[in-house]
Amino acid sequence: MNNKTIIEALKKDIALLYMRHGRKLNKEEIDLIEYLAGKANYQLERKWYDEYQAFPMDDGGMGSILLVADHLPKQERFFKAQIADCILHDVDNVAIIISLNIDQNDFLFELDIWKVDYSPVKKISRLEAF
Amino acid sequence: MLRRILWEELWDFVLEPTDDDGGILEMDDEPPRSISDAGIKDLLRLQYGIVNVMDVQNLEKSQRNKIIKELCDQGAGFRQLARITGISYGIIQRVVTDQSPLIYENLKNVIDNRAYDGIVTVDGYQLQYSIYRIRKDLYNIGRIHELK
Repeated sequence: MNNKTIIEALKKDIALLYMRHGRKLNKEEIDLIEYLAGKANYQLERKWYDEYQAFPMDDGGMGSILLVADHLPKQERFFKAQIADCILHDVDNVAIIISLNIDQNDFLFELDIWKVDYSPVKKISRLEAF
Repeated sequence: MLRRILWEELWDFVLEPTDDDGGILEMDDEPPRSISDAGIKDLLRLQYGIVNVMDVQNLEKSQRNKIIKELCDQGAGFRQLARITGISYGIIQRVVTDQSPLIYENLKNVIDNRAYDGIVTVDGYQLQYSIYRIRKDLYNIGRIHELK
């Protein structure tokens, strides 16, 4: 293996390791979720984001996250529905479709970020522009 | 006796390759393989964190199918995958080939700058998917979720 291959392999290993650990949601993610929840008339508690952790998904760098809160029932969770979506653009002008998904108990489940050419997201255009 | 077997099981049985071809000529509809066994194992480990290739057959079906398709896109052969993962040849073939025409039919419904949402059944599982037109004659499929 050459150096580039090794570095790419290490980056993927680190991404996988990171994927297993939750973190707080960042400002952009909170804004996106609140925007989409509002669009769907989905009620969010005040400071809802303090209860949730974000688990980055292995989506090739597009930025999708799994949403997990401590108060959720301890059971297998699965996708129930996509409640709202919007289309923004990356700086390279490729469309990014962002969806908010809920689980079988109607709790926040995923912020699904799909850059339609499957390349990693560089910087999403600001929500205010739309 | 055959009437007592589910159609899917019969299909798998007929398509299951034998260890020894016994000199029987066989029509092969799979593309020539272009990735080694080691390459498949590396892909599984690096991309999906799967160290034991046999674990693929125990994954949740939509995830398993996604991985099968990805490996075939990377050049894995159907028989090669069946041998390495223990998943039957018939399942691999169906996952990769059978549902595409149903999805292609929906391309005409795709509107520019909007995702078209559809539902397709794979292996008895309902999958929701979206198609987006990137440019003329170039589409991508994403947002794939199993519906329960």
